[in-house]
Amino acid sequence: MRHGDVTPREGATTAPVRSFAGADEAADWLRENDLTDGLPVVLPTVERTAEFIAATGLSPATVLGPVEPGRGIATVELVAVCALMAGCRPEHLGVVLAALEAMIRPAFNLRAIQTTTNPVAPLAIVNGPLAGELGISGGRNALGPGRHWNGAVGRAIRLALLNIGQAHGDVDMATLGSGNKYSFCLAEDELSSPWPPLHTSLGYEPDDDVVTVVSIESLVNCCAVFDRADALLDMMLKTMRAPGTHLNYSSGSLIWILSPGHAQILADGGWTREELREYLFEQAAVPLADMPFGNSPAGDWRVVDGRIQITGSPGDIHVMVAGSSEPLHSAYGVGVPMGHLQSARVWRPQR
Amino acid sequence: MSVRVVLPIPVEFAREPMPALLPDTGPIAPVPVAGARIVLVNNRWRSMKILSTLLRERLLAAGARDVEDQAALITEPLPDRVLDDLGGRFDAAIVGLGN
Repeated sequence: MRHGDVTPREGATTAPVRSFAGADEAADWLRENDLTDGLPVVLPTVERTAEFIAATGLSPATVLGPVEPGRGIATVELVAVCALMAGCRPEHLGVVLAALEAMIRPAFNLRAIQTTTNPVAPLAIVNGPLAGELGISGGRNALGPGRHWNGAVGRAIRLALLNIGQAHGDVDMATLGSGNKYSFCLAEDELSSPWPPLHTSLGYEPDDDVVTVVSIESLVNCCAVFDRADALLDMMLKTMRAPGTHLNYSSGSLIWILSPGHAQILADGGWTREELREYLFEQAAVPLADMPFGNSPAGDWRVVDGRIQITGSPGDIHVMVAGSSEPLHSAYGVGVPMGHLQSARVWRPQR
Repeated sequence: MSVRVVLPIPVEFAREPMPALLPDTGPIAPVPVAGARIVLVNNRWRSMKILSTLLRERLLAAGARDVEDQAALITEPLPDRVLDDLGGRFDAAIVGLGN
């Protein structure tokens, strides 16, 4: 793919400009040249882009770093163009930048995430007071359509991964892919959680505005219509152990997105987040006898007392709260063995 | 009415996307297969074992003197001492980590 005939934008630092006869031609060209996710975008005209960046108060020349696998250098300017195309407002850019800052760390292993046959997609979780102010929801249908800004922010992150990381077409080798690769973002419902917010378990203060990214192979619904902690935990363990939902990698980051109702049942049963992580790690191990044919990663399995560890340690199992309040459905985010969950503070103009 | 659009990619990608060589790697010198000692660096996943088995057959058929496997965890880099050892014992390494 060559884009040709581009010129540096006046006053720009990193992004090229191309002229078109009209808006429809420009939109078609962006799509045909793999610069979108296939859906219509807000056209990043020179004028709109300049207004958008000016409204963020951030310096367009600021460099985040290379985005794997293409190793395009992400700058505030380029990420802003992606956010504009995705339908974000300028105030959302700090969240998108934080997500990318976290994802390009080597420990996240973005190269593997962007190129694997696995349908994995990074989930962006927003914590802190700013989430509500920005309209990023942790409530009902937070990962579905709605008038919240989750969709646009998640889409902006994806467009940056596609365009700056060059993960288009045959570079992304996903066998089937996933709808999560269009947009995958939500906030934690901190007010409805019986526990301190997720980001405090990662070393931040409650009032910090933080984006956490974690690679999710698939999101498995756990329907558990119980009002007792022991019954709910039993169903959670069955969900984690279910063969076919994942390969029991014995490594990688896993996450439970508990509905506020489910979280409250566990808290009422005396469970803290830390106790929950320890218990799930210990109990979710899969008996080796249940996997008589092994599986592709069997060579990397960690087997203790005849049971395959589901991940590396209790600290690799994370717990957050989101969704509507009824204690019916929670979601288990099945991880992948490449890389680990990362977090970064939301970018602000003074940075 | 004409319109000027900012492209969401680095300027260098607009000219030549996905450079053939990554910035932190040097050019890879060709190694004749005939008589070569070759190591296949792979994780231990079944899919990669299938590929390395096929590759070994073809390399030996093409005259390679020796083809060995080096297993590597997908989650951690190989230690430097292992890389140094491989560099000392083999003429070429084919790295197939990932899937």
